[in-house]
Amino acid sequence: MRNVMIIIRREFNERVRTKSFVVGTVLFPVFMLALVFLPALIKSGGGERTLVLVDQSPAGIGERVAAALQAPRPGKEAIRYTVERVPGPMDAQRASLNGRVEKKEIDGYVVIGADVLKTSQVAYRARDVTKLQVVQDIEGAVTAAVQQVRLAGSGMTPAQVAELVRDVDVQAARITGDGQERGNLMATLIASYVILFLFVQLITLYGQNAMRSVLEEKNNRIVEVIVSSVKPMHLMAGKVLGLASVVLFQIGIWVAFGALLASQAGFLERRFGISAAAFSAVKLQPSVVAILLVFFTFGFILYAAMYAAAGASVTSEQEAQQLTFPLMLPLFIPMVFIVPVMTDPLGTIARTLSLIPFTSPVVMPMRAVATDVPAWEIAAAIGLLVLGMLGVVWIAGKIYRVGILSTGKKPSMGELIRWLRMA
Amino acid sequence: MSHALLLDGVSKSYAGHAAVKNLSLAVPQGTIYGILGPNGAGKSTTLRMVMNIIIRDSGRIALLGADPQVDRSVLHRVGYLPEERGLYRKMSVIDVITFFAELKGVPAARARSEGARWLERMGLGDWRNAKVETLSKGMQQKVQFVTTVVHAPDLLILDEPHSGLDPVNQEVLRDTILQARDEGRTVIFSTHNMEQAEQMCEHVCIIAGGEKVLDGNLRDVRRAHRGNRYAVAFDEPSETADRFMATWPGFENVERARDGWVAQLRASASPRELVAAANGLDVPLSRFEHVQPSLHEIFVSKVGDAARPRRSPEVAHA
Repeated sequence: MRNVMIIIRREFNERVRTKSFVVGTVLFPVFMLALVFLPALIKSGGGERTLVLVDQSPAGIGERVAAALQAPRPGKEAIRYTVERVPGPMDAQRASLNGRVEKKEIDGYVVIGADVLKTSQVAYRARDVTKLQVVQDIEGAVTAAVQQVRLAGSGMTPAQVAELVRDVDVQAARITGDGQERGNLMATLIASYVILFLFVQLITLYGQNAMRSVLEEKNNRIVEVIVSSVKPMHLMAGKVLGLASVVLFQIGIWVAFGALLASQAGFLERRFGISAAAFSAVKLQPSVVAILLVFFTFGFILYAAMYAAAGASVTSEQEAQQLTFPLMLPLFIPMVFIVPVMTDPLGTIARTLSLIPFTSPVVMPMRAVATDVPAWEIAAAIGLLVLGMLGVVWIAGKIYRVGILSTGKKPSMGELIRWLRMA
Repeated sequence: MSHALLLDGVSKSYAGHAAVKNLSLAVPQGTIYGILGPNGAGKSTTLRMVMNIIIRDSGRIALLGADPQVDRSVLHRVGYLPEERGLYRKMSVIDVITFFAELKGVPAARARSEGARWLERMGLGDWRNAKVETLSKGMQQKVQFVTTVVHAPDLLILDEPHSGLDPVNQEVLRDTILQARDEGRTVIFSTHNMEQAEQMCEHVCIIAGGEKVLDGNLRDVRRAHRGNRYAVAFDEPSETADRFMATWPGFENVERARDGWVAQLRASASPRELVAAANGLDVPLSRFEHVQPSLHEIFVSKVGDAARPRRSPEVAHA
């Protein structure tokens, strides 16, 4: 045990001193912050649009649409419209309108046909029709105008109509075990996505690190000296646990940084317009934090042991490179099922994936932030994960023990199985 | 306990190819013991089995009185220099030394101070905090040597310690080995350089093709192989002496050497008769010596064919 501690300490000390650790630790939060803040700074919304409204419609619709579009809207993201209303027919003006669009005098034009009440269709032509917000605004304005005219036919006043067709805003929030409402929909989705992204990244990054460092020890024959005082199994355990301690340390730094940010939520809201609700995703319940830690740690050990065994069974950097993809495959499964897992965290797919030891380290934490997973499921998943981890570590240890001291060519599958029997 | 290491019928084969066959040897405590053999003779395999790096197929090993497969703690009292050297390139010199010493059971603080002392002794005091990768190859070898001795082991096992060292550093290494012996430690080293072995070893074991060719005290080995050749020289050139050397009936064969002759005696003739006859001449006998074969000659005559490398099947050694 003392030897394992010495090896853990070496792995930790050597790794946290490397430039790549410092850079990674600093860059990741910067990257995450950029993801959150950049859209707010760059202002994807806003701006001005000049549109021509070719109005061939029955009386009233054209004016209403123009008025609705030009009415000031709340919010920074809103677009300010200038609308120039011209009468039809369309065919006579098409060429000149297209010309004006080309010359950038106007951004586009909307054609309201004479039969708009019947067809419920208008045409929109512009330089860029992918600007979704403009399309939505036009749709909203025309819909409201058409509805009002249709309903006015049944004798209602515009005020009554406006009241009738008012949109409903769904305010989503999840109810947690302690009966409190927490987090809005977006924050929960983001948190769950960040967990997936982060866990997969950290496991593969550090896993490949483990593989490379095992390969270094093997090729340098450092391992001969170590194995002459330490059991190979202890060397592998020390390496895997050492890496786990490094990654947990790194996460610890990020969590501390996140907590600092969250405590400054008020300032950030004033300065960058980030709603305080966004931070509710960061403020996790202690029980959820515990689940994240348990699943990440066990999952990390499981994968790191696999990578270590892989590193021991190859003889060159190139051969190691070939193994990185197959080792990552099990982690791709949660990525493939990201939508069902995130949108239906109590569904069958999410439940199944959160029980399988190779996917549960990622999927269970994703579910845990999104919903209240029944305690028995968590207990079962932890049980299975621990069993899976022990199994993988046992097999990996055998491959490692033989592989680490073998030289010569890469073992075939048959030889690997022979190693398993030998060790 | 009189032996630092005992091997009894130890064998190891890889995929049908026998690397070591039924090897037995005894290393007396407090001596310098050389394991000699051509490349591929099984020297490294033997030492790796002793260090429990590879598992033997059969036979018994008693390392400082214990079987390392059963009692690993005995390995803490051994310093091992592997044939292929390796250190963590990104670590500082003193950290590497401390790490390996700690694995041998030395407390961190003492490992550090002992490491620093050894670095001074090897002339690497200024490189203490340098990264290993910034050192020259020779310096790295010295650092590696420090890692094998820093925990003050009772037994040093050095696999080809001289390879890659310049003459000055070979000198340093030799002094260190001799001093270790003077401190009561046992040193076992493998080499194919017979001169090195001749200079330092009290005991040798020659192996070839995985089998022991001979072993024992170096003086006894040489005596056993010295044959029937005598160096003879007279005080000054003289015709009587020339005639005597050409005609004495006990000679089987006489060769002219730089300052005299080397003569092969017939089995029936005795050296005493030769001395008596030579003393009867009018020039005084100035040299009479039983010619000792060099270890190199013994090695070549004994190993001969076995020194030719044989192709071993290309397998992943395990």
